[in-house]
Amino acid sequence: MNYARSSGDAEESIMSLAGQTRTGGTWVFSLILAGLSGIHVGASAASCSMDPRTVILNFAYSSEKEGFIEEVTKTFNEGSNSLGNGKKICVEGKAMGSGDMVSAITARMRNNSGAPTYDVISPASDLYVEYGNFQAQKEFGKEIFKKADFLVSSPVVVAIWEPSIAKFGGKSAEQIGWSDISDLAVKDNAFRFGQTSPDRSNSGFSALVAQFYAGAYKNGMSGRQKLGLAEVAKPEIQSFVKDVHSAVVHYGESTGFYVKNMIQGGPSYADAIVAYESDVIAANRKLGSGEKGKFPKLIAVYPKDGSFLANHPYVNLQASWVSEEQRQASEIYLAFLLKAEQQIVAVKKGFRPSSSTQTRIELPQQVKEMVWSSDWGVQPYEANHRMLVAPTGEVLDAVLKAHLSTKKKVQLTLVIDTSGSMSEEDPGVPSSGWTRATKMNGAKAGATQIIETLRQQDSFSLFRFSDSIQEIIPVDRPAKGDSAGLNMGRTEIKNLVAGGGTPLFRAVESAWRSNCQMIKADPNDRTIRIVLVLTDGLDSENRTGSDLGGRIGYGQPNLTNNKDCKIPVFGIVYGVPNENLRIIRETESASACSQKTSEARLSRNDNFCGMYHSLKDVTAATKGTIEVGNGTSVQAIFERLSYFMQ
Amino acid sequence: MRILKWAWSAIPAVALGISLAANAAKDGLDFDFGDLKLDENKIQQVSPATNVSVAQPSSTDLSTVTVKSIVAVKAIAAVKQTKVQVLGPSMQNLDKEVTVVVATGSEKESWFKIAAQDFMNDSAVNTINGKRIVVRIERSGSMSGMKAVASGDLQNGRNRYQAYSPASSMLQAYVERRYEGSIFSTKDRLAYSPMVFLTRADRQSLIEKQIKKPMSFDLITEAINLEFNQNKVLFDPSNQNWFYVGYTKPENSNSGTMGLISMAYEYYASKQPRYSMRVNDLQDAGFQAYLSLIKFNSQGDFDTTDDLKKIIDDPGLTSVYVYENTAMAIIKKLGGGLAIRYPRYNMITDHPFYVLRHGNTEEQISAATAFKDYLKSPKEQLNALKQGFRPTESVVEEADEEKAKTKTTELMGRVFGPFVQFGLIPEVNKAAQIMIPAQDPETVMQLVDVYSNLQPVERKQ
Repeated sequence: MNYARSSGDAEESIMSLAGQTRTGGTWVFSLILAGLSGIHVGASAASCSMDPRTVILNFAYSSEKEGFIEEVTKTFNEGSNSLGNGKKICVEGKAMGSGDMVSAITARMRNNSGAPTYDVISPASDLYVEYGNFQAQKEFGKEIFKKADFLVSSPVVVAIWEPSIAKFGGKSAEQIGWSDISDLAVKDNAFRFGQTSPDRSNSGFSALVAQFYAGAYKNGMSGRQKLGLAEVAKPEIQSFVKDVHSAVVHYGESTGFYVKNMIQGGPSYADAIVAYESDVIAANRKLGSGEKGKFPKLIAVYPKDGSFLANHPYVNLQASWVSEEQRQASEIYLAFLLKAEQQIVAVKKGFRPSSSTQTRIELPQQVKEMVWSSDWGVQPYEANHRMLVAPTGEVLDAVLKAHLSTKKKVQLTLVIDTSGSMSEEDPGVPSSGWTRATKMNGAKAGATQIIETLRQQDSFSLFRFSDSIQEIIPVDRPAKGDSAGLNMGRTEIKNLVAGGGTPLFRAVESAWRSNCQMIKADPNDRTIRIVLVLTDGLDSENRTGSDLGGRIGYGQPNLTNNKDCKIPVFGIVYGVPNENLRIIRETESASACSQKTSEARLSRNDNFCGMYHSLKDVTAATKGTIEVGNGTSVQAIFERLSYFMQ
Repeated sequence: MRILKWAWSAIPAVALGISLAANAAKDGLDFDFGDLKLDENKIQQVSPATNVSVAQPSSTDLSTVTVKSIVAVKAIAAVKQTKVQVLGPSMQNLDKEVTVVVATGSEKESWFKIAAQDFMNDSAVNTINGKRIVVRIERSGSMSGMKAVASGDLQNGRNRYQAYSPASSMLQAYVERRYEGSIFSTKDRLAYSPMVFLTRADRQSLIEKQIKKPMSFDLITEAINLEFNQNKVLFDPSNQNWFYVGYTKPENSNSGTMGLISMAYEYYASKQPRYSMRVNDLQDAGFQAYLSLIKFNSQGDFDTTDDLKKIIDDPGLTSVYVYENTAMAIIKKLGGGLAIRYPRYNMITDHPFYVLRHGNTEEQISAATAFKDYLKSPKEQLNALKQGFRPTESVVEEADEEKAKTKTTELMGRVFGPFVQFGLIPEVNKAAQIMIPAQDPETVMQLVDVYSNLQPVERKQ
């Protein structure tokens, strides 16, 4: 069940963010902009009616508690919860990264209009509340986020596959800290580490702050001291953090999605990822059922040099769009979430109960032993761990800024379709003046926009394909993200001309192989490599699908081939009718196109499903390396672009 | 619901049986706890807190710390000169109902919400001039609420608040001086609550063994210094967590401001009994180094006192500086493992209820006053007691004053008694060795400003 807004609302949100008016066609470009703005718009199904006798409370919460919130909110909405004036309360929930929800609200405050947003939020911890209020105080002269209570809690841990513990030189799980992860990342190129993007998700943010703490300790800061601006600015401490991040596979958007990938991809996806204790419990429950024995157990490492407790604050907003009725509804919903019946749902999913003094659940010893058991890879409920003290909002801001320099470099490979069909007008975009709104022009604009988001230390290469495949800016001599490189890129993109066939799969394979060769030539190069395909449709050489996955080595179980070349491939499709977009939004899976009959796949007129299947093959081929796996909607691919690019 | 939450000592525990298996999620991966019954009201019994025998306190040696630059005290002449004219009561209230918005701190929010509901349901008091009274409670940090009231800003000619009930009256004079005319139509006290340190019991025991001082900010400074100099966790039996005390932001919250006054008072009072804060003292280098040492080695950035319940599940917090009733709520939640200690130099909050004249109609003022009277009624004073406040009035309906007093004392014993084992002292006058006298509110504001602008302390080589 999904409590998000209706798809129509979501579309409107995207469009207003992108600043365009659309009747169809170029939705992709809008989506890119939405993604780059940090707005996650997922497929959704309405659950609350727009009845004037109903008060709708839009609730954004961190993704790792999705199971808990979905289950109890369903109960809440089915119950007879109403205000004093008789209006029924309906809660529409939306799981997302903690940073994303704070950014969305701040953006709405800044614009004082625009996309509908949330009325109450629950990020994973108060780090983002502090940071968000620091930003709001600076920008708006007031704090926006007001903590009302705490829903559940769970420590931030590093989830490591049990056999991977051996990589830490004989240390036990209890002896491992950030310092060991930093050391291992430097000396073992095969060590693969994962965490979410610190500016989008709490676990990644918490981990980053803890890494700065650990770096400061290693460089002489007394353990007694709180992390300050002086420490964050020190090159040797930044270098320590950079070492940890040199092993990062990619930055995930939200902890929930990242953990899903970990348990789908197994040890070849990553050796270790930052997650919550509750995630480790849930993951081991899952690994222990159905596919038992497929992957080893995950072990929760509570870093010995310190971590943070995610305490899941319930946060009301001091914002003009929150009505008095919504404030009252928020209070009633909060009281409901804190009741024993709801709290026990959370405990059953591996969360520790709320620290609220408004509710008391004393967990019986047998429950503690059942849930916080080594069977599920976690330490006992009462075990004492080193918890760090949150620095000030100003220091958190500095940490995020410093992260830009510690983050790995990105090399983006653009693969642009210049086949004849790209010269056709995009059906949904009216031409203006002398400029025809062709798919080609859309792709050019999109590609230019994307390279302009690169940092100076990042780089990009460029492929075009029609009847032939041409490497315009070679992968081994990429253009830099500086002004000279960008100027070259803009010119090359501008000069692209459409005409000819669509050897989509060969082009993707070619770009992928070029990148793979670079990795193999220099195993010490930890650059994040991404292939981005901009196209309008079917492969003209093989319209029924491809064995691309097999050929580039990801069709094998457990990714046994080409394990050194895990290069995510993303696609952006142009010229899509609204109707098809709607179908995909509503189903959020491959089933929409599959059910549209196999003929539809093959029809030249049904570009979307054709493109969908083409991209599905590509994403299946890279299964385990990206957050979009086989069977995920094309739209999700677009949404996930931004965290690679930031 | 109220009974479940609060009638802890008076009402027998109600076992909440939940058929947990029936709620299992569809994926079958949730834990199945069978027919386990959870008792929401059960309190774990813990062994009584150790009696501490302490030597005479002495000041911590701060010769190893310094601050790079001294924060200058800001002049507050502007505050004294610019006065706001009280506007009201004069405006007509044309609405069909009379709304009373009460701004209050997190510590009373729960009590006030219960009382507001009771008040609005009570036909004997819930109307004025035939109009229904609507009472709304808004959480507001005592300091930020005070600043809003002091600024005198009106929205569309009306005051956002009709009443303001901070945790203490320490800044009452500051607000009054801002106005030309009387801003408050009533200043009644609703309840009392002393400040306490609530500390993890095992760590409290270690501190008391190693530092023979009564719990105070001076002791905290010494604990920080010891750990800093030895670079070693000294006060956690598991050797995991450093000694960190939590308090609210003095800029926003009453309890944080009280903590700050206590810090300042302690620094000077050992040399000058019955000390009164002076501007020059705030600019003293040694004093600012001491203050900075505490600020940058504590968690003094909580928004509200209620947030300090984080100590429940965050072992990174050793101790929190909170109201006595907040400490009781946390102990009730955790069942044990915590110790209450009253600071050697202490303050008692008096929870005034100010009905505001500025920007409010006669009807609003009367309605707010009616709600204030309701809060002082035996029924609501009993509710306050159940939430750990010390009532200002009798909590029983009893014409005979002596009998009322006796019954009130007896009920107070039933509420506070179970917490004695954790260190609670029932007699409020014994809740400190020395009570901090009232300080000049403008100097307090200057102290807050100095604290806000402190630079991190530096260690002398």
